[in-house]
Amino acid sequence: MSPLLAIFLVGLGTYACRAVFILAFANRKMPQALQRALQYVAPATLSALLVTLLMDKDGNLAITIAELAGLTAAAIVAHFTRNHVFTLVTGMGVFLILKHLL
Amino acid sequence: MKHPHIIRQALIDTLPLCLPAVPFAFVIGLAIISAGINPVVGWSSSWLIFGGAAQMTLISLLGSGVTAIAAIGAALVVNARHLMYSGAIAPSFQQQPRWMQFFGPYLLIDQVFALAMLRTAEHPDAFRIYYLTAGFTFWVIWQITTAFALLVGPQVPESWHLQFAVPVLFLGLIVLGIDKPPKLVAALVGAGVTLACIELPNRTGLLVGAVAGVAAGIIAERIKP
Repeated sequence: MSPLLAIFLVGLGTYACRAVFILAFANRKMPQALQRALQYVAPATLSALLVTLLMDKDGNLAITIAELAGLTAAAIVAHFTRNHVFTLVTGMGVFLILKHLL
Repeated sequence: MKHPHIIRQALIDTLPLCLPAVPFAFVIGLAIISAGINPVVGWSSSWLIFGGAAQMTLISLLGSGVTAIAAIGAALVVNARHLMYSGAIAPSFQQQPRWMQFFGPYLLIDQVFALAMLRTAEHPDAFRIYYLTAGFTFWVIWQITTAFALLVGPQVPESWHLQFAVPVLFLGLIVLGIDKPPKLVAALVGAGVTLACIELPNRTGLLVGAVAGVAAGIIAERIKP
Protein backbone atom coordinates (compact mmCIF):
# COMPACT_ATOMS: atom_id res chain seq x y z
CA MET A 1 0.00 0.00 0.00
CA SER A 2 1.35 3.43 -0.86
CA PRO A 3 2.09 5.79 2.04
CA LEU A 4 -0.27 8.36 0.53
CA LEU A 5 -3.19 5.94 0.62
CA ALA A 6 -2.35 5.00 4.22
CA ILE A 7 -2.28 8.70 5.18
CA PHE A 8 -5.55 9.32 3.37
CA LEU A 9 -7.27 6.42 5.18
CA VAL A 10 -6.08 7.59 8.59
CA GLY A 11 -7.23 11.11 7.70
CA LEU A 12 -10.66 9.78 6.80
CA GLY A 13 -10.89 7.74 9.99
CA THR A 14 -9.75 10.68 12.11
CA TYR A 15 -12.35 12.97 10.57
CA ALA A 16 -15.02 10.32 11.17
CA CYS A 17 -14.09 10.10 14.87
CA ARG A 18 -14.23 13.89 15.23
CA ALA A 19 -17.46 14.33 13.27
CA VAL A 20 -19.67 11.38 14.21
CA PHE A 21 -21.37 12.80 17.33
CA ILE A 22 -21.53 16.34 15.94
CA LEU A 23 -23.20 15.23 12.70
CA ALA A 24 -25.28 12.26 13.72
CA PHE A 25 -25.79 11.73 17.41
CA ALA A 26 -25.97 15.25 18.79
CA ASN A 27 -29.01 14.43 20.90
CA ARG A 28 -27.83 11.06 22.10
CA LYS A 29 -25.46 10.46 24.97
CA MET A 30 -22.38 8.36 24.40
CA PRO A 31 -22.61 4.99 26.17
CA GLN A 32 -20.85 5.18 29.54
CA ALA A 33 -18.82 2.04 28.93
CA LEU A 34 -17.41 3.51 25.72
CA GLN A 35 -16.64 6.79 27.44
CA ARG A 36 -14.82 4.93 30.21
CA ALA A 37 -12.77 2.85 27.77
CA LEU A 38 -11.80 5.82 25.59
CA GLN A 39 -9.89 7.61 28.32
CA TYR A 40 -7.44 4.69 28.53
CA VAL A 41 -6.87 4.46 24.80
CA ALA A 42 -4.22 7.19 24.67
CA PRO A 43 -1.94 5.97 27.51
CA ALA A 44 -2.26 2.28 26.52
CA THR A 45 -1.63 2.79 22.82
CA LEU A 46 1.10 5.38 23.11
CA SER A 47 3.13 3.24 25.50
CA ALA A 48 2.66 0.14 23.32
CA LEU A 49 3.88 2.31 20.49
CA LEU A 50 6.87 3.57 22.42
CA VAL A 51 8.03 -0.02 23.01
CA THR A 52 7.55 -0.79 19.31
CA LEU A 53 9.64 2.23 18.31
CA LEU A 54 12.50 1.03 20.50
CA MET A 55 12.75 -2.26 18.61
CA ASP A 56 15.26 -2.82 15.82
CA LYS A 57 14.44 -4.20 12.37
CA ASP A 58 14.46 -7.79 13.68
CA GLY A 59 11.97 -7.04 16.43
CA ASN A 60 14.41 -7.12 19.34
CA LEU A 61 14.47 -4.42 21.95
CA ALA A 62 17.38 -2.20 20.91
CA ILE A 63 18.28 0.23 23.65
CA THR A 64 21.59 1.03 25.31
CA ILE A 65 22.35 2.85 28.56
CA ALA A 66 22.24 6.15 26.63
CA GLU A 67 18.66 5.63 25.40
CA LEU A 68 17.53 4.33 28.77
CA ALA A 69 19.03 7.30 30.64
CA GLY A 70 17.59 9.79 28.12
CA LEU A 71 14.09 8.33 28.43
CA THR A 72 14.28 8.16 32.23
CA ALA A 73 15.40 11.79 32.43
CA ALA A 74 12.64 12.80 30.00
CA ALA A 75 9.98 11.01 32.06
CA ILE A 76 11.10 12.72 35.27
CA VAL A 77 11.21 16.18 33.66
CA ALA A 78 7.82 15.64 31.98
CA HIS A 79 6.28 14.63 35.30
CA PHE A 80 7.60 17.61 37.24
CA THR A 81 7.49 20.41 34.64
CA ARG A 82 4.48 19.28 32.52
CA ASN A 83 6.31 20.89 29.61
CA HIS A 84 7.08 19.31 26.24
CA VAL A 85 9.99 21.56 25.34
CA PHE A 86 11.90 20.92 28.60
CA THR A 87 11.15 17.20 28.25
CA LEU A 88 12.51 17.04 24.72
CA VAL A 89 15.63 19.07 25.49
CA THR A 90 16.48 17.08 28.63
CA GLY A 91 15.82 13.68 27.07
CA MET A 92 17.87 14.43 23.97
CA GLY A 93 20.61 16.15 26.00
CA VAL A 94 21.17 13.25 28.40
CA PHE A 95 21.02 10.75 25.54
CA LEU A 96 23.52 12.61 23.35
CA ILE A 97 26.01 13.26 26.15
CA LEU A 98 26.08 9.56 27.09
CA LYS A 99 26.07 8.45 23.45
CA HIS A 100 29.20 10.46 22.75
CA LEU A 101 30.94 9.67 26.04
CA LEU A 102 30.39 5.91 26.03
CA MET B 1 -18.49 40.74 22.13
CA LYS B 2 -17.81 42.22 18.69
CA HIS B 3 -16.14 40.04 16.08
CA PRO B 4 -12.66 41.64 16.21
CA HIS B 5 -12.69 41.21 19.97
CA ILE B 6 -13.56 37.54 19.69
CA ILE B 7 -10.83 36.97 17.14
CA ARG B 8 -8.30 38.79 19.30
CA GLN B 9 -9.33 36.82 22.37
CA ALA B 10 -9.04 33.55 20.43
CA LEU B 11 -5.53 34.49 19.28
CA ILE B 12 -4.47 35.46 22.81
CA ASP B 13 -5.71 32.07 24.07
CA THR B 14 -4.31 30.05 21.19
CA LEU B 15 -0.79 31.34 20.63
CA PRO B 16 0.70 30.20 23.98
CA LEU B 17 -0.71 26.71 23.32
CA CYS B 18 0.94 26.69 19.89
CA LEU B 19 4.42 26.88 21.37
CA PRO B 20 4.59 23.25 22.59
CA ALA B 21 3.20 22.15 19.21
CA VAL B 22 6.22 23.56 17.38
CA PRO B 23 8.82 20.98 18.52
CA PHE B 24 6.18 18.28 18.05
CA ALA B 25 5.61 19.31 14.43
CA PHE B 26 9.35 19.49 13.96
CA VAL B 27 9.84 15.93 15.19
CA ILE B 28 7.12 14.73 12.80
CA GLY B 29 9.11 16.28 9.98
CA LEU B 30 12.19 14.38 11.17
CA ALA B 31 10.18 11.15 11.45
CA ILE B 32 9.07 11.52 7.82
CA ILE B 33 12.69 11.88 6.74
CA SER B 34 13.94 8.90 8.75
CA ALA B 35 11.02 6.74 7.57
CA GLY B 36 12.17 7.34 4.01
CA ILE B 37 8.74 8.55 2.87
CA ASN B 38 8.57 11.10 0.06
CA PRO B 39 8.65 14.47 1.91
CA VAL B 40 5.64 15.93 0.07
CA VAL B 41 3.58 12.79 0.72
CA GLY B 42 4.68 12.77 4.37
CA TRP B 43 3.82 16.45 4.71
CA SER B 44 0.35 15.86 3.27
CA SER B 45 -0.43 14.04 6.53
CA SER B 46 -0.39 17.48 8.19
CA TRP B 47 -3.54 18.53 6.35
CA LEU B 48 -5.08 15.13 5.53
CA ILE B 49 -4.89 13.90 9.15
CA PHE B 50 -4.12 17.10 11.10
CA GLY B 51 -3.42 15.28 14.37
CA GLY B 52 0.12 14.99 15.72
CA ALA B 53 -0.06 11.71 17.62
CA ALA B 54 -1.73 9.84 14.76
CA GLN B 55 0.61 11.33 12.17
CA MET B 56 3.65 10.34 14.18
CA THR B 57 2.26 6.86 14.86
CA LEU B 58 1.49 6.18 11.22
CA ILE B 59 4.72 7.59 9.83
CA SER B 60 7.12 6.03 12.31
CA LEU B 61 5.41 2.63 11.95
CA LEU B 62 5.40 2.79 8.15
CA GLY B 63 9.13 3.37 8.39
CA SER B 64 9.75 0.47 10.80
CA GLY B 65 8.66 -2.49 8.73
CA VAL B 66 5.15 -2.93 10.10
CA THR B 67 2.45 -3.88 7.60
CA ALA B 68 0.46 -0.87 6.38
CA ILE B 69 -2.76 -2.28 7.86
CA ALA B 70 -1.22 -2.54 11.35
CA ALA B 71 0.20 0.98 11.04
CA ILE B 72 -3.18 2.38 9.98
CA GLY B 73 -4.92 0.45 12.75
CA ALA B 74 -2.54 1.79 15.39
CA ALA B 75 -2.89 5.39 14.15
CA LEU B 76 -6.69 5.13 14.20
CA VAL B 77 -6.65 3.67 17.71
CA VAL B 78 -4.47 6.56 18.84
CA ASN B 79 -6.99 9.00 17.42
CA ALA B 80 -10.06 7.23 18.82
CA ARG B 81 -9.97 9.70 21.73
CA HIS B 82 -11.51 12.20 19.31
CA LEU B 83 -14.80 10.29 19.68
CA MET B 84 -14.81 11.57 23.24
CA TYR B 85 -14.30 15.16 22.07
CA SER B 86 -16.95 14.83 19.40
CA GLY B 87 -19.51 13.59 21.93
CA ALA B 88 -18.66 16.24 24.50
CA ILE B 89 -18.80 19.21 22.13
CA ALA B 90 -21.75 18.04 19.98
CA PRO B 91 -24.42 20.00 21.92
CA SER B 92 -22.65 23.27 21.07
CA PHE B 93 -22.80 22.43 17.38
CA GLN B 94 -26.58 22.00 17.43
CA GLN B 95 -27.29 25.64 16.54
CA GLN B 96 -24.45 25.94 14.05
CA PRO B 97 -25.08 26.12 10.29
CA ARG B 98 -24.77 22.82 8.46
CA TRP B 99 -21.45 23.76 6.80
CA MET B 100 -19.96 24.39 10.22
CA GLN B 101 -21.16 21.00 11.45
CA PHE B 102 -19.29 19.41 8.57
CA PHE B 103 -16.20 21.62 8.57
CA GLY B 104 -15.76 22.18 12.32
CA PRO B 105 -14.80 18.56 13.13
CA TYR B 106 -11.82 18.81 10.77
CA LEU B 107 -10.24 21.31 13.17
CA LEU B 108 -11.17 19.43 16.36
CA ILE B 109 -7.67 18.74 17.71
CA ASP B 110 -6.89 18.38 21.43
CA GLN B 111 -6.08 22.06 21.96
CA VAL B 112 -9.06 23.42 20.02
CA PHE B 113 -11.33 21.09 21.98
CA ALA B 114 -9.90 22.29 25.30
CA LEU B 115 -10.28 25.96 24.34
CA ALA B 116 -13.73 25.66 22.75
CA MET B 117 -15.19 23.78 25.72
CA LEU B 118 -14.62 26.96 27.77
CA ARG B 119 -16.81 28.92 25.29
CA THR B 120 -19.85 26.68 25.01
CA ALA B 121 -22.06 29.16 26.91
CA GLU B 122 -21.54 31.90 24.31
CA HIS B 123 -23.79 32.92 21.42
CA PRO B 124 -23.52 30.45 18.49
CA ASP B 125 -21.99 33.14 16.25
CA ALA B 126 -19.38 34.06 18.83
CA PHE B 127 -18.65 30.38 19.47
CA ARG B 128 -18.16 29.77 15.75
CA ILE B 129 -15.80 32.72 15.24
CA TYR B 130 -13.78 31.74 18.29
CA TYR B 131 -13.60 28.08 17.27
CA LEU B 132 -12.58 28.83 13.68
CA THR B 133 -9.96 31.39 14.71
CA ALA B 134 -8.34 29.00 17.19
CA GLY B 135 -8.53 26.09 14.72
CA PHE B 136 -7.07 28.02 11.77
CA THR B 137 -4.25 29.43 13.89
CA PHE B 138 -3.17 25.94 14.89
CA TRP B 139 -3.65 24.68 11.37
CA VAL B 140 -1.42 27.32 9.77
CA ILE B 141 1.35 26.93 12.36
CA TRP B 142 1.19 23.14 12.01
CA GLN B 143 1.52 23.20 8.21
CA ILE B 144 4.40 25.67 8.25
CA THR B 145 6.36 23.93 11.02
CA THR B 146 6.17 20.43 9.55
CA ALA B 147 7.21 21.79 6.12
CA PHE B 148 10.08 23.71 7.72
CA ALA B 149 11.32 20.56 9.50
CA LEU B 150 11.32 18.66 6.19
CA LEU B 151 13.48 21.37 4.62
CA VAL B 152 15.90 21.74 7.54
CA GLY B 153 16.00 18.12 8.73
CA PRO B 154 18.32 16.74 6.02
CA GLN B 155 20.92 19.41 6.89
CA VAL B 156 21.22 18.21 10.50
CA PRO B 157 24.33 16.06 11.03
CA GLU B 158 23.80 12.34 11.62
CA SER B 159 25.74 12.53 14.92
CA TRP B 160 22.89 14.51 16.51
CA HIS B 161 20.72 11.35 16.40
CA LEU B 162 17.60 13.46 16.01
CA GLN B 163 15.46 10.38 15.30
CA PHE B 164 15.64 9.61 19.04
CA ALA B 165 13.47 12.71 19.57
CA VAL B 166 10.48 10.62 18.40
CA PRO B 167 10.42 8.14 21.34
CA VAL B 168 11.28 10.99 23.74
CA LEU B 169 8.29 12.96 22.53
CA PHE B 170 6.00 9.92 22.80
CA LEU B 171 7.15 9.36 26.37
CA GLY B 172 6.42 13.04 27.11
CA LEU B 173 2.90 12.64 25.69
CA ILE B 174 2.31 9.56 27.86
CA VAL B 175 3.56 11.13 31.09
CA LEU B 176 1.70 14.42 30.53
CA GLY B 177 -1.52 12.51 29.82
CA ILE B 178 -1.45 10.52 33.07
CA ASP B 179 -3.68 12.39 35.51
CA LYS B 180 -4.91 9.44 37.60
CA PRO B 181 -3.56 6.03 38.71
CA PRO B 182 -5.66 3.85 36.33
CA LYS B 183 -4.06 5.65 33.39
CA LEU B 184 -0.63 4.77 34.74
CA VAL B 185 -1.79 1.14 34.96
CA ALA B 186 -3.05 1.33 31.34
CA ALA B 187 0.32 2.71 30.18
CA LEU B 188 2.42 0.14 32.08
CA VAL B 189 0.31 -2.84 30.99
CA GLY B 190 0.27 -1.52 27.41
CA ALA B 191 4.05 -1.38 27.35
CA GLY B 192 4.55 -4.67 29.21
CA VAL B 193 2.20 -6.73 27.06
CA THR B 194 3.70 -5.29 23.88
CA LEU B 195 7.11 -6.30 25.15
CA ALA B 196 5.83 -9.79 26.01
CA CYS B 197 4.40 -10.13 22.49
CA ILE B 198 7.67 -9.11 20.88
CA GLU B 199 7.76 -12.38 18.93
CA LEU B 200 4.48 -11.77 17.11
CA PRO B 201 4.91 -11.10 13.39
CA ASN B 202 4.77 -7.59 11.90
CA ARG B 203 4.78 -6.05 15.38
CA THR B 204 1.12 -6.85 15.84
CA GLY B 205 2.02 -7.09 19.53
CA LEU B 206 1.42 -3.35 19.47
CA LEU B 207 -2.32 -3.82 19.03
CA VAL B 208 -2.47 -6.67 21.58
CA GLY B 209 -0.63 -4.42 24.05
CA ALA B 210 -2.96 -1.49 23.38
CA VAL B 211 -6.10 -3.57 23.96
CA ALA B 212 -4.63 -5.11 27.13
CA GLY B 213 -3.72 -1.63 28.38
CA VAL B 214 -7.25 -0.30 27.90
CA ALA B 215 -8.70 -3.34 29.66
CA ALA B 216 -6.23 -2.95 32.54
CA GLY B 217 -7.18 0.72 32.91
CA ILE B 218 -10.89 -0.13 33.15
CA ILE B 219 -10.23 -2.89 35.68
CA ALA B 220 -7.94 -0.63 37.74
CA GLU B 221 -10.69 2.00 37.86
CA ARG B 222 -13.20 -0.57 39.15
CA ILE B 223 -10.87 -1.91 41.83
CA LYS B 224 -10.00 1.52 43.17
CA PRO B 225 -12.09 2.32 46.28
